[in-house]
Amino acid sequence: MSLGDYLIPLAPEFIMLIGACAALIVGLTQTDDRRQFVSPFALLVVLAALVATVWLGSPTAETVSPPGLWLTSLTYFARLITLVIGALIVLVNWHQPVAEERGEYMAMLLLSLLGITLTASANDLIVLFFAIELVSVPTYVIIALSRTDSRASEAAVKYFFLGAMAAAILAYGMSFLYGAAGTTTLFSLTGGAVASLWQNGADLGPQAIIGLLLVFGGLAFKVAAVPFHVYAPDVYEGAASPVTGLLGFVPKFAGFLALIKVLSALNWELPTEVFWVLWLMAAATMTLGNALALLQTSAKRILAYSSIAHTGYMLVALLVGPVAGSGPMHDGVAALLFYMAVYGAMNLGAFALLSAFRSGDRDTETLDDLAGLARRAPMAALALAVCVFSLMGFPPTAGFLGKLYIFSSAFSLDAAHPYHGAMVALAIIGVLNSAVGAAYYLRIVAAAYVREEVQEAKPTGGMPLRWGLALCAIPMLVFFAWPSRLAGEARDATASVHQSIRADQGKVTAAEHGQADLASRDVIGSDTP
Amino acid sequence: MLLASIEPYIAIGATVLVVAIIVVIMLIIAHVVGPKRRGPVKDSAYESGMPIVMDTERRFNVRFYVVAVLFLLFDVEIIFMWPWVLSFYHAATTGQTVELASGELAGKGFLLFGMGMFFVLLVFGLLYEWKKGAFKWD
Repeated sequence: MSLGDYLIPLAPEFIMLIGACAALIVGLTQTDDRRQFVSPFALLVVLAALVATVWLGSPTAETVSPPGLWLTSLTYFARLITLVIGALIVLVNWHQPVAEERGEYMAMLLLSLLGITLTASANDLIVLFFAIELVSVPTYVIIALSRTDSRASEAAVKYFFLGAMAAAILAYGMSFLYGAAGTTTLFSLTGGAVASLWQNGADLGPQAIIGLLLVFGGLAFKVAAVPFHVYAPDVYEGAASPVTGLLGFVPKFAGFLALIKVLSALNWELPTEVFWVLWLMAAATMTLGNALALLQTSAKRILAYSSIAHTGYMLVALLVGPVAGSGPMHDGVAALLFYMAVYGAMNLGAFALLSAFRSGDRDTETLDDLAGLARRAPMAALALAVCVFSLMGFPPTAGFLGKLYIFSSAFSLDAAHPYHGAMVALAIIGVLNSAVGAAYYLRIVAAAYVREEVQEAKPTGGMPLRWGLALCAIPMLVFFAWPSRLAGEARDATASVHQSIRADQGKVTAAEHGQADLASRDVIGSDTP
Repeated sequence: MLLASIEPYIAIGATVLVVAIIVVIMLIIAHVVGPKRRGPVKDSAYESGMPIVMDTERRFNVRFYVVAVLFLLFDVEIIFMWPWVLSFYHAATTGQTVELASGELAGKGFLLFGMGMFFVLLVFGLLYEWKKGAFKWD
């Protein structure tokens, strides 16, 4: 087994890593003229990684996984979505930081995206932890660089200290899982992995349950779920709008991918305590997020609380899991992945609009700043309306389909499922919450379309930002009319989650599993076989 | 179940407890039987008689902060290199392989590549700091 066999499947990751280093170097050049190349360069890197992803295709049974990783169709889906939305993020952030810091800014952004794809492929608790921190740590820097005023620094410091605490909780939980399992490997054909703890419905024991709860606590911070949500509104408000659009997607996607990994190791057979903790977390996240959003006057804070509420909807799908059947209408994980992709674009679009205008001498933030936008900039207001209606879950937008998939997956659970009643109740809470959510989303649309102008909104940002906004809004309509491709990718990604469940129960042959080389225990990179 | 899982740690817990008790006893004995002499020398910061030069809450140059951060960054990686050296030496001299956490076996080529990647990134960081001017004192 030569080294190349291990490195080629990771081509997108290597492109992003080398691209991040190169972006730092481009940012070091002395003149602003040359620094202008950083943003196009970052876009080029993301697109190159996307081309490499498509060229490699979805990992098959023959694909070799490097140690500590397991390349599956989930990896492929995560790469596709991360890189497509990553390209949109680069467009929206095109002119964001001052020129001297743009190299660092784009490098951090690329590293953060790299972290997501690594999270999706991690097969080891330590790799998973580092991948998630690779997502989080650059975002602290991005927030601090995003604006020159003290609010951004305050947001960055808050996010950093709370994030460091969450990382500590996560690592502590993983140490318990390691203690219970005796290994850090998540899935293994030869047994002796963390997933084996749950083989044949064995009793978990207190150590593993404490570990799981701590891991869920640490990851709840990343996805901004109640009670670990308190940082979100302040941080989202403090960061510049294009960065806030990024914050709604990047850590959330990574957090949910990690949650999918951990729950698929559990085989979705949750111990009662763990199930009810997650159930309460989902119900509280939806309800609190929506209730507090109703009280806000700042469009940015409304969207921040809406981001918390959306985490709640996604937690519903996560709890359903892939057990009810295939396809996003039944499969909670497929519904979650579909929703995540749609959410990333619609959320980014809403924040892209806020960054496309300035009210007087400050950034557009409040509802008053948005008042009368439709008369001044009809196309931009239309894009905002599409994104906000999509967030609301109103047809004809992809957000409607996303919510439909999530709630129908909960309703389609078999009546024999141990938590059937609880999940139906949770889905009903979710539907009610979506209805409540309409109230504050409509206030944003009403401000732009109905109200008289309070303060003149001056367009700012360049063409890339406008393109980014358009490319966030148009897919919302396209994916409503034609969701089959994205839904199909989400379904295929879930297949690997199923596979990992079966793999650990020993029902999958080595060739089917995708780690055929593991069984024969080839030696990597050695001339002595 | 819980008791069984913490059993290996009972010895450590007993050690901690014994140490704590001994410390408390020693403090009490010192407090009760020790002679008490008060004076300006006794109350000074360094009882050994070293004269105090200046206040501790003194400003010092912010540039030391950068030095400290850089030192930390480039010092800690030796912790990563040290076990690697042992594994690599073992693999290179005996031709044996190292079992990774995933159960796969890694030969010396893989180990060399891993450290190579790490080192290249590290050197890149050094060059970046250099170009950024972090090593300039003025």
